[in-house]
Amino acid sequence: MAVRIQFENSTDIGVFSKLTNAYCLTALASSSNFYSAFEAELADVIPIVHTTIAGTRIVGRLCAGNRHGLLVPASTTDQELQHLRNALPPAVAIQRVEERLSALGNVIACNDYVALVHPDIDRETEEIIADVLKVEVFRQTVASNVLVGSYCALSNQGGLVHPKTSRSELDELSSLLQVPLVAGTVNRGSEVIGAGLVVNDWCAFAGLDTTATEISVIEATFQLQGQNNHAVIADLRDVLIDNYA
Amino acid sequence: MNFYKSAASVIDHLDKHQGSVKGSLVTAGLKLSPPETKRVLALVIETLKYRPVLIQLLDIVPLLSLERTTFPKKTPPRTPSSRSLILVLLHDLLFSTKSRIEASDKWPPKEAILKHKSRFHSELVKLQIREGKQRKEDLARSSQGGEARYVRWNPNIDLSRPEDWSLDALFRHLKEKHGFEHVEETWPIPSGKFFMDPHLPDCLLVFPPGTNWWVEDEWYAAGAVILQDKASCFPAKVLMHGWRDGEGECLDATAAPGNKTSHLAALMGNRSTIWAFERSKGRFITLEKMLAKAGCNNVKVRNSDFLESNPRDEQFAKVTRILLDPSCSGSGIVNRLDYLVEAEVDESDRAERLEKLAAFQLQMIQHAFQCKSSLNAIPAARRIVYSTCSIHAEEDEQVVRAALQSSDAQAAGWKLAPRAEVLPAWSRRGRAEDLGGDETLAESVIRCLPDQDKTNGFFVACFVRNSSPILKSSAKRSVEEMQEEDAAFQSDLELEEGLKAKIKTQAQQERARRKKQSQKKRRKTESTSG
Repeated sequence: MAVRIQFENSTDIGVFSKLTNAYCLTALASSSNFYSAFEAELADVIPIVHTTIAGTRIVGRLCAGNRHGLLVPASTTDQELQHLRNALPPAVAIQRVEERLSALGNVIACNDYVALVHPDIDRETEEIIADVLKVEVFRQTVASNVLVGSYCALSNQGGLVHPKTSRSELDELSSLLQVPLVAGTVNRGSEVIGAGLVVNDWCAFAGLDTTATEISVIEATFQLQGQNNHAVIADLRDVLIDNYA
Repeated sequence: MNFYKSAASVIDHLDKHQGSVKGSLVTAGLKLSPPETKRVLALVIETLKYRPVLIQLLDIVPLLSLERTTFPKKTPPRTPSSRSLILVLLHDLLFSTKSRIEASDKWPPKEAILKHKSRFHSELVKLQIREGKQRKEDLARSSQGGEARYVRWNPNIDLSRPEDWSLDALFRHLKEKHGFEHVEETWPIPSGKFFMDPHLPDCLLVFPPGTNWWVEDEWYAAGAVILQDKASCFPAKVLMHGWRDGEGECLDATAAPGNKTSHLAALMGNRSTIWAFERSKGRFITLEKMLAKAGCNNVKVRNSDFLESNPRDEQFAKVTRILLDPSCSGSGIVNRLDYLVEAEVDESDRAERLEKLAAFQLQMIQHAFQCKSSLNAIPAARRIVYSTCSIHAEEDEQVVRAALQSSDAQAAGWKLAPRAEVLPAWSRRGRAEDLGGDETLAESVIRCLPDQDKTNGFFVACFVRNSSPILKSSAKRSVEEMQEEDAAFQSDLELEEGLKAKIKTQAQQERARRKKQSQKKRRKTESTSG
């Protein structure tokens, strides 16, 4: 199921939230509409945590995590860390990372098994990612963009990547990730996938501008409706061809 | 960690010197207990299998420069080079079953490598994807060949023990305990089936590759089956062509490890006598062990050099057949793990080595040619089989040709046995161009090629001479013979001089000195007997 939401008139919901299979982080907002949208979908399944990171609301861009752990930048305050520790399940390891590239959400894209990271990330950070998130770490680019976290969204079922990703790059990435990948857009043609979409294994939240076609691509890619993937993608292709013909 | 250092030293040694993987373990000067030896050997072999992959990884992650303090470019003497140490450690981290380095976390080399662990893991996955391999194990270098596993049934055990160790009992055992079915010859061999080899139908069983039913099997433990390649069963088979009881005795000039000797014993029905020579002390112990295990009761073993033995000694007077399997380059052996070590041997080195080996092999044959009884002037030795596990003509046809042209051969009437006596059913024969273009000579010898005949590379030639006693007055004959032999010695000496001039190695000079001594001795005995 994919839901369209916005954060205080911004459709870049990936900036203000982080969704994994074990927890969800949302930014503190003036109204609780944003939080409630997540609550409606995820309440009683996983904890949804209101938090700031380093005093900012851009939690989705500053931290990276999966069901095994959460990595936060060095600028995270002790209170924030304590709050997260109290709110998240004990099985989730939380680790502060001393990394020059401090927007961890932009430089790390991961699911529960594999992480794609910025090619220039520190060796120590790489080891921490592997140990805390229990993933294989690959230094990669997505369509020549080093900010892999910004330009793709991954779950254990599939992944959506920058629309200009070439066929050979798609093949390489999907063999690294061992999941099917689709190149696409969110928010009516935005290529910044990570900003427009947060996803886990059973639900997705997209920016309010996302079109119906984009939503169906998302649902097919991340297998959110239990349909046969290939059939839907083939159908979609026909629809798209009809639209653009 | 000592264990990793040992393995790294072996790899260093392998890179610097020529030699087999197993041999390097000994020559690298390591003192290890047998279980440790096994472990180190396993690690070395596995590391070598993955070496190209590991080196590619090291190109991407330049550990030698990243961890310069732990892995210095120049290591102190008697310690392994950094590169080899990294290779063995990396192998254990990435490819071993436990996927970890079995050492303390505080050991600096382990610490240094673990710092880059995830990078190595991910680069390995990328490499695997690039190579299109499903599993990382598929990245290993593998040996070609190995289309069949050969097992020889050893009748000696059946003869010497009260229980039933016959071939039929073996078939029953295989069927009942291991589920192997006896079928007609088919290639490739289906799993769970076996058949009798068409060239050695009386004793050789052919199993699919990868078979290992003999592990901890009572038949193998009893010595009733012996793992022996098909090609190395040929020499004994060819030598014992037309053997009948009471013909005489046999001699194996280079017996260790004793598989061919026990095959000989089996073909002689474990009766009469085999004289087995082995020069090296270590290999001699193996020989005794193997012969005891194979239940050979008719073998008299000697820990001495066949070249130093006196061919006219009284005790060898009844020897009619001689098996010569002298040291060779071993270029035909497929499971020698040589494929693991880069094949960049210098061509001139190779030629020199072959030349030395060939000189030695020729010497062995000529020594065997002189085996005859001096007392009654009846030539005792009638059949000599010469075999090598080499595929180089320098050690095979060219040695045979030189032996046939030698004065010893011509004086005593040695020639090659016709094809009819030398496994006529085997289709791959000698190369005529290396035998002076003589097709009949080429037809008389056997050759096996590792990639085409489903065996090791091998070469067998059989020399015979007229077995009818020479009807001449013995006095006259012995005078003539002595003159002939003097000439032969002379030419031998000349040959030796020539060799020395060509290759002045110590071993060669040593051998020449020995030869001269034995000739002196021989002359002395002759003059007393004449």
